[in-house]
Amino acid sequence: MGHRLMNEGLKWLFFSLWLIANIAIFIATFLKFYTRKEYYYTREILREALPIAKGSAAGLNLNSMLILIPVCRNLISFLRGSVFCQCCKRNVRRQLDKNIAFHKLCAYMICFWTIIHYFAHTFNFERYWLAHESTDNSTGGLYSTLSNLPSQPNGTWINPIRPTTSATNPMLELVKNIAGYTGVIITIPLILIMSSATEIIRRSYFEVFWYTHHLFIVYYIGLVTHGLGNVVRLQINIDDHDPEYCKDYYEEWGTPARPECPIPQFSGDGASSWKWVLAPILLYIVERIMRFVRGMQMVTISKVIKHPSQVIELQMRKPGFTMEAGQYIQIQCPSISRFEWHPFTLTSSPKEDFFSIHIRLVGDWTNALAEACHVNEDGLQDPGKMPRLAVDGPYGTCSEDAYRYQTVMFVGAGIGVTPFAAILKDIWYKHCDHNHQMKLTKVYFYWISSDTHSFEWFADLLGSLEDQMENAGKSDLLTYNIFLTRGWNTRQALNIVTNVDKERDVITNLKHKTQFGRPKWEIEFDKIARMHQGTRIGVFFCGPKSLSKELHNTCNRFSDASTATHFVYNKENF
Amino acid sequence: MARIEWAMWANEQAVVSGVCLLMGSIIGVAGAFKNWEFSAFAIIVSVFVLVLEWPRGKRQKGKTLERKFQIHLAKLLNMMVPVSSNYYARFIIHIILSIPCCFLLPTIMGGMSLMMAAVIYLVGTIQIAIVFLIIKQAAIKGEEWQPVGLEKKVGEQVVTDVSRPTRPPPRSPRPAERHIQDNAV
Repeated sequence: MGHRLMNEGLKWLFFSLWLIANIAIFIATFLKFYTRKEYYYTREILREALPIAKGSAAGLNLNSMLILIPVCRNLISFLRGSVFCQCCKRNVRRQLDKNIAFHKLCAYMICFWTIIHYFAHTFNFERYWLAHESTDNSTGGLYSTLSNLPSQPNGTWINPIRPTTSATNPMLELVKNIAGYTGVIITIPLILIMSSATEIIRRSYFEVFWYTHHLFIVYYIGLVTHGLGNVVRLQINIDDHDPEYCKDYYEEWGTPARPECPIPQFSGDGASSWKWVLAPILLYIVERIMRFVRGMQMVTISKVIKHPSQVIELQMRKPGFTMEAGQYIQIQCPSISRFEWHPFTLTSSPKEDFFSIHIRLVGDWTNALAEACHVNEDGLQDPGKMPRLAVDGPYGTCSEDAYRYQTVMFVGAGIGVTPFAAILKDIWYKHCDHNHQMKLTKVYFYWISSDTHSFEWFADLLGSLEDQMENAGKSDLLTYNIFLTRGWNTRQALNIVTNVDKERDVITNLKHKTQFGRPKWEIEFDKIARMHQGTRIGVFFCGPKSLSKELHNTCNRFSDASTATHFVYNKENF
Repeated sequence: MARIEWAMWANEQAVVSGVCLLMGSIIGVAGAFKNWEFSAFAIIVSVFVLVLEWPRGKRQKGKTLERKFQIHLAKLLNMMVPVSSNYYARFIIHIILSIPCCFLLPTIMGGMSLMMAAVIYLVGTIQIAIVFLIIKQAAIKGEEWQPVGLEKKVGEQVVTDVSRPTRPPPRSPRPAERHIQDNAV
């Protein structure tokens, strides 16, 4: 438990803060509407549904404000690189990687508050309608009197359903009321956004998810205008007219018989959502403008390389482009789709004069891109024939943090190896540069793949690194463990068995032997923990979710407070 | 560009609206709203929609993630083909069922989103029709609901008595082959 707290404590602290903020804002608003005298008559008509609706509205405001911030990529990148963050601890910065998780959390909370708000208001509207309908003075006399307060230009009314209404049922009244129809208008997009953001739609039909998510514009417009109708009223003359005393004498209001009870005056509460959401909306607009401007800049594709197993490498140049190892960029190709941006990890080192990405051709977009780059044509490609690309980024991810540990473990699964290509290259360059003091002294690299072909393109890079290190006499910097989980046929198996004693591996042609099957993490972690007792070891992973979970748990299990050995888990986010 | 299977989204939307409608209709009855009879009707509608939409249809390409316990309902729906499998029929059913739900405050949101689900189903069927008109091939099969998981039982071989390998991989294939042959009965 102790080491779990050590690794995850801050995450739970942020989570609790957010949860407490939600509960606190609900309770504070609830109590305000439950106790304040200004709302006495409104409460008479609406009862508990009023404070519940208002409390959940406050929760909605809070989460609608927060939900936009984690999707501002540039802002997050800026925060990560800013001076403030460089000073604060790794653990604090690590929280920035959980931006999408936080975005989802806020979204769930918005749905929760929406349900409460909506159902509370259905009761409110029904009760306004009942008050409007009540004519029997013996029982509903107060309601009737309140509902029939004279309409004046500055509005002394309390019941939004006016006595002069021609509507014959609450539903007709709903479509006439601004709060009513904006409520419907913003909830429908919210439900559409929710249903299109479920995992199956997001993974299989990304376009549907992406375009539907832009209904958030309708949502925010509706959110800001929802309160303009001033439906919930507060009394403004409680000094002259004490509602607790006067409510029993409603028949004598404004008559000389009871001068202490003049006609109560009401005014609207005013719309307040805009105060909450204005700042994040402006931030988000700035964010989108930045993305747009960056996307307009010229990018030239200098080289396209076709690798085995359906992987292509694009080498590009863009004036003024600077990057760090482990960062990613967003790419858009106008000739394929004007709106789709796809993230790719940079595989080149900052020291190289171009930047490159490796793309696995798995989907429609990636295949269309390969087609547009004439990958399958022989001979030298004409740069003039290359498609126009828009590049946004680079954006930082947690891999930059690798330099802050003494020992690191990199785990890449499948195509998830790409960020480590850049980092390994970069570590090597920095290691050779004697002016550069580097904290990092040992790198364990794990690469798990299910396909022998994907070794072909990456093994080149590893091989050249291996040779360079050996020549420089520093082969102890990097240890790698390559795991092939399946995909060997009987002939290959035979080949492997007969060549098991050779110096170089038969599949990757590297000195480190490929291992077969999946890594046993307990053994690996145990080994590393014993070799590097008392240090903080950064674990970096890029790959599928299930393995991420396993690694995360193993990290927490092998972190030991008594020996101060610490496995800090980091995950690449896309 | 691969075709978007709109029905998959419509299905998600319909399930969400079913849940939304169920909550609203229970509140409508419990709160004794004016014209609460509509919400009594909406309870039946929401349960019907949930039963109809809970089993996810088979995707045209790739694996389909099943919802929990959907296999039991899928068997039920499979008996009511073609009414349960035709997406145009679903569009009609949802539109008709959603209209009465819009007459009551607590059920209007569920009713409206069910209408949205119906519209998405319609988009899917229109897309099919357009594809059909352009290519003019009668052979093109329209998008329709197909059960997932029911076909599993056919051709499934139960392998018992596989002894654990004693050596870690890589293993020489020859003993392995022999091993497989020994076990194949």
